[in-house]
Amino acid sequence: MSIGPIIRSTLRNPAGAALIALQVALTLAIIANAIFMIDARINKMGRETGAVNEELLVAQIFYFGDSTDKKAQADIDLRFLADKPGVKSVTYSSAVPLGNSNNSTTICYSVDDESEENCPGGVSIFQGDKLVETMGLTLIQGRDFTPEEMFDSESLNDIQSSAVLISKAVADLFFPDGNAVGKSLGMWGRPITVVGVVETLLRPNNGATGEFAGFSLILPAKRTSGFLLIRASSDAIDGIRADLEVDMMRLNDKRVLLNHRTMAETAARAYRNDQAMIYLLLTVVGLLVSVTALGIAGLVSFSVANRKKQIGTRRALGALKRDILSYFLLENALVVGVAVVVGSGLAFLLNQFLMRNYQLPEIDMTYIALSVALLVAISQLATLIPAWRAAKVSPAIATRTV
Amino acid sequence: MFNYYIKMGLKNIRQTPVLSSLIVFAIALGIGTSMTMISYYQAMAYNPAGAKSDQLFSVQLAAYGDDMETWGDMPDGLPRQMTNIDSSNLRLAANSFPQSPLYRVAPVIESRRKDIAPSLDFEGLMVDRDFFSMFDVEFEYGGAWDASIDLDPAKQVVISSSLNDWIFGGGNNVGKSFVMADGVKEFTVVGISKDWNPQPVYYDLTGGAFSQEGPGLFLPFALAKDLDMFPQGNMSGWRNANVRGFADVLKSEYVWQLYWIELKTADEVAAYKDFLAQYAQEQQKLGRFANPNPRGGLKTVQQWLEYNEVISEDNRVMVGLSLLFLLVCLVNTVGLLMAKFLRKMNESGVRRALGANKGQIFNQYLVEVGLLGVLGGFMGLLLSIAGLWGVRILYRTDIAQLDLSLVLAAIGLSIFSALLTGIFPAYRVCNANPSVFLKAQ
Amino acid sequence: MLKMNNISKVFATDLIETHALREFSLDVKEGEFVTVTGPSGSGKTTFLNIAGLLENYTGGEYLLDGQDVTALNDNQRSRLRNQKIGFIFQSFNLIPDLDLFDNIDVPLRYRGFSAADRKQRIEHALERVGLSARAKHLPSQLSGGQQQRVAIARALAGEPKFLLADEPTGNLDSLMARQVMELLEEINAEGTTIVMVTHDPELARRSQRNIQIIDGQVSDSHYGGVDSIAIQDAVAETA
Repeated sequence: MSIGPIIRSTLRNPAGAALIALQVALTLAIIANAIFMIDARINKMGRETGAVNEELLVAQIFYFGDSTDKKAQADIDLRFLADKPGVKSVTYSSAVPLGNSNNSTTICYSVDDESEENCPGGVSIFQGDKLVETMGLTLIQGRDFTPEEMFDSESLNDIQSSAVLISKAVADLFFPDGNAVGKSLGMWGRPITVVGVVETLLRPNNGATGEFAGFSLILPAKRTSGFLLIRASSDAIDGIRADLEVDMMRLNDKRVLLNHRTMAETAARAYRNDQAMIYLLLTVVGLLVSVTALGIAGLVSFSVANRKKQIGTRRALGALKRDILSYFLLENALVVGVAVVVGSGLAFLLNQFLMRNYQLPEIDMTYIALSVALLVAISQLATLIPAWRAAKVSPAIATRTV
Repeated sequence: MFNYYIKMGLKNIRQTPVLSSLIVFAIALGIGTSMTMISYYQAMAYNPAGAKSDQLFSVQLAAYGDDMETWGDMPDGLPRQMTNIDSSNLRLAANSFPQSPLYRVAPVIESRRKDIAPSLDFEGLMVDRDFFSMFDVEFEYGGAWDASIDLDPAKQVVISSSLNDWIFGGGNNVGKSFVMADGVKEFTVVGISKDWNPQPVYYDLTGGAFSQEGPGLFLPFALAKDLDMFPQGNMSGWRNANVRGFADVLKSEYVWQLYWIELKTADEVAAYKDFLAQYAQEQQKLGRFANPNPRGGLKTVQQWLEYNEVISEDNRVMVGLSLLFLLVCLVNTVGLLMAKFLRKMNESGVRRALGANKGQIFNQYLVEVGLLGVLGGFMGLLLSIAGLWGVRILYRTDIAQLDLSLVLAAIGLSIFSALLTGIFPAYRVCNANPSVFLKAQ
Repeated sequence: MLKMNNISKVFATDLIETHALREFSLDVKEGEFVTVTGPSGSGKTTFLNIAGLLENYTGGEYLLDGQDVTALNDNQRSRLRNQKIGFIFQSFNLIPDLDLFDNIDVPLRYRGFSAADRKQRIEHALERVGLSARAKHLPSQLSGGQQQRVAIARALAGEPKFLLADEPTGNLDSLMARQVMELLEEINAEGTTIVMVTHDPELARRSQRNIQIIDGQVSDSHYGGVDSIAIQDAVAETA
């Protein structure tokens, strides 16, 4: 194919080609990073909470006044709810994944030393009875709490038995060689012992990303208010939540029931800003690609109109229609080829900037490659229509004198 | 001459409707997206304190021990909030500056209207009476409690207009009482304030910078012990202490309160800074603040807003991306303008032959580009109205709105960027050799 | 080798029917130098376009090098044009952004010659028209006469069956026009058939055979001669 002459003629009149190349390069840099960010958000929103989302209903109960015997009331509440059709397990908890009420602290290898090297990780604390069963967490090592290990507590940071459950993320951090069960750690200056490890338990605060998001610990402290967790078969949930407020008020009206949401709804609320960001980024990507495509179509159209005489001459000299078509497609391909090389470099630069000033990780080549493929396809398509019209130029134009 | 250029410009635009619309549309898209994101950014960057911004200060103290160099991730290593011990000390210190500690509570409130269930929807702020004048909270009826209440508390409250409607159904209810918190205690209304919800929530940014509703009621800080209500916001400590109830929280080294002070002159600021430094030294001698650099901090509202990073990262990224998008649209526009003007080479050759100089040709086409910029700006404004509507829905917020300054900025930005794109094409036209284009070929 | 039998060409719009050519017949033998002359609107351009396979005709038959071209499709006509005809245009039609080498290269690329073959042909053609030294120049850097010589080189490089020239000297001054005509006559003397359309009666007289077109029909056909021009030149010099 006649690449040489195309390159030489483009270099002599580079303005149009330079504009297309600049547009494509900038667009590539932007959409590579935008698609990367979109994917990162989608992954973040797709994180496992550790709980069985479809079966979990979450409500919040707050008491006012001291007149209620909260312990006794909690027993009544839980027994009542457990009897409802479809209910598998009920309990009160101090926190739920993505539930926004976060209680966190640092965990140390040993009790006496509270320096940073000895305390490499911070965890979010979940307090409640039967949390594994009610949230549907997966135990991968050890066992759940025994009834003897459970204690009653309304405090934020009380430890009355040393048993704890930790998430796999915490186990991997403190005990990378594997077995965490039976090992000791220090928390709040008190010794704790790991009795079991759950696979995943996502922290209540949405902001944590990466491995930190899964640093959780469960204390065997029974709660009597806070988050009411109801695990039921997914088709029974709607019925339960419809009556929930009325039911709970009837059992005791010295309290308020705030929000009842499924775990899925809780997650959706927590990720609302991420979802919004995804839509905004998608919009920018869509607009960018459209503007670039239209721009290329426009510029090539104009170039064709300007070169009618030349096209007619080529046809008169023996070019077939498809030779003209491929000439313009090839010309565009060469320009875009240069543009994607420059654009890939720009994409890295932009990514570096985003990494340094915002919390974005390093971009993977696949996103750049994907954006390159997208832009090459779009620009060839955009060139196709004006090139098609160029091919239709009659060779008889060559003999006209105007 | 300018009018002539405008006339020619409008004529030319009418004669090339397709190309001109593409140019206007390209500019409009770029301006529309940029203005949408910039407006949202503006709303986030808004400083509600207005004229008082330089006179209201947030107070911080290096209330940590154990030879720690810094606390947490703030750039100056100070905790954002302070302990109850310190705020109690500060508010009793001997100076006459208006000041107030602050923390949020979530009381259960009972309505005086029939058959209305108790509500957890109204947030309370625990403050000293100076708070109302410091933060320009206006009253519909009544006013703040007496200064003596700050020292010898009574169950008096200021409720918001919305809460007034909810409890009593509206009207002047100063002097009336309602039940709150434990279903037993009665609180007397001393004032009904107009609904007050500055965005961002600059007085307490620990629970998120923007909120749907403002505080429903204000309670005397001095009531803290009696009320026995856990704070709603953020509580953190540099070391652990066993906390079994609210009384423990009050005595602990946990930080969970904000502290604001009003200092009107530079002298007052200097005097208070000295006071804080002195206080920090004293506390160190008493065994608290056991760190290498016991100090205090004062920040104006603007500094406080930036310190707390009110403008979300996402928003900043989107502003940057839309400006880059505008750049792409402008590159696009340059190409389209080149195409548009190349057809005009002939006419330009004739004008030159008839006596126009290069500058006049350049100006004529630049004016035409400016007109396209104006059109693009208006269309871009329409697009940003749509865009902001979308932003409000996506982020469930009311703050992203266009105001007059942003409208003018949009038109200005549009004309400026259009002119920028027009320079090269107009330059090409006016520099072309007229004789070349006067031939019939 | 170029034989037209009763070619007619009708342009029909909603309102008018224009007969650009009616029963036009022509027989050009190999090695001839034939001019076709006529006033404007006589149908010269239509004849040229049909002869060059740039346009189709409404009636009659056209045999190019013995082959009936009536039923050929666009691709076939393009191929034939590429292989058998060398075009020379009034306004040169060189591609402005290509240097001379690349300009001559254009039809050769469509022919499918190898790179070595093309290089040889281009260099030979440039030498033939005396412009080897300027192979890397752009058309804008050449005079009108030189540009037309490049166009002739382009026409020759593919060794076509005949050259089809459309007013080749129309845009040149008299000195350059003389040079171009002399070049064409040399090429014809070497054996290349030339069909030239012109409105210049001087050129018509120079050619071996001249066919006049008026209103789309052959009105006259007579033989001229180079000798008459040589005598006229001699007379001018001595005067």
